[in-house]
Amino acid sequence: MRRLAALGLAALQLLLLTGRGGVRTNYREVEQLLVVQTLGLDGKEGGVTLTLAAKGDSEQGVRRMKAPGSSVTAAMDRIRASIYEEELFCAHAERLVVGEKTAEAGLDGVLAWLERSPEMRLDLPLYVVRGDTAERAMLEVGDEQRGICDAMDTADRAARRRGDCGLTTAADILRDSARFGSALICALSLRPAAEQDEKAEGALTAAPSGYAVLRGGKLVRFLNAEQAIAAGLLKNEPGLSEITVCDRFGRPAVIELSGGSSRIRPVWEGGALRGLQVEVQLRGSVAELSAGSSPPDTDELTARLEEKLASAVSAALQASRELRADYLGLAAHVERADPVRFRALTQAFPDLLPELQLEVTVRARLDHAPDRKEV
Amino acid sequence: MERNIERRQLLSLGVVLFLAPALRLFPAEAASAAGRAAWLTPLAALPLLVFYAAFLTKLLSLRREGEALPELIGRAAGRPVLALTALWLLLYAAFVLRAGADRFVGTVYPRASYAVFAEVMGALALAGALAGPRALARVGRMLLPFVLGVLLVLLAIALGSVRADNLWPLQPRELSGLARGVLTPLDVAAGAAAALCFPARAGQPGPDARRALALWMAGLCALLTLLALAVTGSLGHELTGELSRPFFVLVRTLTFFRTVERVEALVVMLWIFPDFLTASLFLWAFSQCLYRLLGGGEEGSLAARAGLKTAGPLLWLGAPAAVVLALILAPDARRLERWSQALIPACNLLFCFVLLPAVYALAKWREKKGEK
Repeated sequence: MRRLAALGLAALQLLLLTGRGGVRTNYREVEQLLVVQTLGLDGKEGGVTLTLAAKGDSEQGVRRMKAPGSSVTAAMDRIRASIYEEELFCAHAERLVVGEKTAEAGLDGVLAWLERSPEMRLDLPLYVVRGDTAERAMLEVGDEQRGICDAMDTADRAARRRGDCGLTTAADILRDSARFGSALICALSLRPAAEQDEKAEGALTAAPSGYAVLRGGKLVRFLNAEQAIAAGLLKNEPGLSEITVCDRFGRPAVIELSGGSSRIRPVWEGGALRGLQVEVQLRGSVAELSAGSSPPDTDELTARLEEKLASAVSAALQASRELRADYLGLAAHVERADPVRFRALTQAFPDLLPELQLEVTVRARLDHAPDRKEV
Repeated sequence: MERNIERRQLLSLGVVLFLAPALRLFPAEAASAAGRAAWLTPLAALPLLVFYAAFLTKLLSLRREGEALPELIGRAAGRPVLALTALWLLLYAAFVLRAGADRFVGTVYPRASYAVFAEVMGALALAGALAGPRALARVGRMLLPFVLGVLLVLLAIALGSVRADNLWPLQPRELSGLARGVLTPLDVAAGAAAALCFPARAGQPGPDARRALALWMAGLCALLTLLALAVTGSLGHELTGELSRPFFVLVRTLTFFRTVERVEALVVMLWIFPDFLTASLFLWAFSQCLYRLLGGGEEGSLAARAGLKTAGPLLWLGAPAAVVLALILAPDARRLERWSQALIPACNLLFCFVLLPAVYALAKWREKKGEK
């Protein structure tokens, strides 16, 4: 009898789970979904402008949508209400792009929305458009067939392997902002597309363009290409990148950096933190050298590379000092080296940054360039 | 009543019961209390839990077949304690229904009402409780490899994204936070162990029961350590402490072999099993306590006058009561958080570390006085 009652109860639940009175089913036909891949967000007076982009099929081409709203949710609802047929689906969004002005005003609201949203992922990569709005990036990149999603697929792949612009996710930014008060965000720049045809004359594309520094959730500075390479090395995320140096004849040589690491040690004077010793090791190879009668002097190129990287590393550290923004996570190195003295510091670490003496050493090693003897 | 549940089945049931509060409560609470030292909190709690395991085996050994609290500590003290226990069991069953519904709404069905999930789970728990503790223990034994297997695969993949600086170095401030952080592993592991006392066989628990229970506690602590390493190591203790369901947020960010992602709905669905078993077992135990309270088995008692020969019919009262309580317990997320993070853990700790030891002390005192 008890078994029958138990089975009957279990079967009864199937009725509760269906129909209008049951759980609102979230089953949706995939053909009816408009799968959003890229979101763009610009702040404006009293609200936001949200732009969404999805890759379309060969007939429809790129789908771009835009709506203002008092909040991201309101703008999303407005788009949802004004699209034809399909249902908006953002669960598989691949990136979020924000405009420079919006980032300057602060990303706290955007990050809080991502934290709260059951639909969005916290490992969503975030980009800031250098010198422009997200709306322009979303609406003007590409042509009718290809748009921001295609450009950003390439940008994502580049950011994953390159040393001058790593992928930064919402979780990375939240964590680093909470721990160091500062974080890096991947920067994006709009530039004329290299691939031009008559129909798409003047078309724009988007490409990674180093990093931007966030302090207290607000954009405070962009790093130039060499500083971005240095930042990658200092965060021990070197990746691939190219740097150009000149040999003794003034010929430019392109060095491809293929790896490296850094070591940061605090210099203490009693209980006071006096400075940081930064040691960077990297390796690379000569990728391109201007034609000339003399063969390249590898030692000289190595010295030039060390000099240039030391200058870039110093500039990246200098930016950190000037901004009082520990975007490189230097505090973690100091803490790891001496947790007790770190805890006893009387000032917050970012406030100590301007007073710290920096000693930068760069050691480079040029490996054999493929298919070419280096004398 | 001889329930004859195998120890392996019982301990498996205990692990499944443990998994629901462990994932709901532990990562965020441990990270908030102990920061980067969150992964050390289960290890710090282990000696206390081993001691608690020894205590529970002693408590069980005091009980004889067919005995309940009134026989153990005297009718005068037994009945109020029994009433308190019944209330606690009903409250916890209701909370499990509400918290499980919230997990569905928060992770998979954002615009749905929590009521329907609580009602469905309440009815399923009634079916489970009607089947009795032997069936529940068998279900626990069958489900454990599946649920634990999925959890371990998720944790193994999540460990790939762990950053060492999220876990090390440990500051004295964080080590001092261990004292507060220890409360959560104590709460979830001791709570699961204490829940096993209800369906456990009465009488002498066996010569190696203490060792088996201690090893079981060590296993739970190892699981919690792994959980903290994966969640805090990936998200960082600051972010983990800010999130209400950090484990499920972590699952949402996992990508398997660069092809499969967004598996959180499947994982959330899987966690209905711990909820189902917990709610069923607590409802069953509630009906047993209520039956005793009504003087079940005694001539002329309320139970006899109502024609109750077993505790089973009381389940038809307990399950709807739990559902109604679940619906009014926490009408919004803020109140649910207060129940989840403060009130329920506090009640559970009081039950495990105050009420049960008090019962044990009183029973021993009566034994010494020769009143038993």
